[in-house]
Amino acid sequence: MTVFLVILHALVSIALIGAITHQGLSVWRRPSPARVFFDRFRAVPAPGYATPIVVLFVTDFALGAYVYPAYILDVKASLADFGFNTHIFLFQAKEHIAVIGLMLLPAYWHYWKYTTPDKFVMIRRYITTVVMLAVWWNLVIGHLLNNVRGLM
Amino acid sequence: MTRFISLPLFSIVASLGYAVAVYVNYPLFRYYPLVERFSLIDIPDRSLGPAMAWYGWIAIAIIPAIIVGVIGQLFLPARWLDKLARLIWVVPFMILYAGWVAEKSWLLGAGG
Repeated sequence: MTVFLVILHALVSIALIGAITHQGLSVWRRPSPARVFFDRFRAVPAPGYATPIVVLFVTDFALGAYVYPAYILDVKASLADFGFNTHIFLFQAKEHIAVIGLMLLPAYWHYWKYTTPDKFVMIRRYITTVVMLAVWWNLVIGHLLNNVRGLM
Repeated sequence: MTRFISLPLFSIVASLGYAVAVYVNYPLFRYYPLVERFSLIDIPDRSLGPAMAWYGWIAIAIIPAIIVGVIGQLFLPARWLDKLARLIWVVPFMILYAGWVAEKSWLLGAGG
């Protein structure tokens, strides 16, 4: 069951990273014709991504929080035994960076859903970018740790 | 929902609460996964296995955030709330600093 939940956690992360990257890059884009791939990637209706991103983030966070005790008992203990302290540090950072995203989510929701697009542009850009970076960090570090020592 | 609680204020106070809770290591409760037990106090019993403070840090941060968010929404003028919301910039840095203080020993050794 734990392995299934870890895989589900990873799959939800992949959906989340796609959505938040589209939105995170689109908030910095000025309106202009999208000719190359990178522009077309960013030329998305960003407000429409807000609700799926909140749902995916909360789901992903809940899954991660649920399997976290198994990581503490199984993976972290093994890493400590082998002296992989840098890996433990990176995962511990993941724990706090995930909370940055979680704590910013209510404000993220507010600025995407309850303000007009012409107001609070910089705050919206900032929050979206921070959430995007948090999601990227967590997926990359989670993947790295799973390669070093996955849950059985 | 935003009629009853200021969500940006909630985010700022929850982040500040989490950062302080991590910095001073004061969770609302601890969880002992080996024995699947919650405790309001840190039990110095090695047979219980490792204690997890993470859930407790989040929980203790959310309580003042709800209170301040509701009070702010009900009693503060909108322009004040907009000014306070600018403090959202410091959220990641507060948590990153507290996290660094709490976890640096993994990189620097027990003396770090």
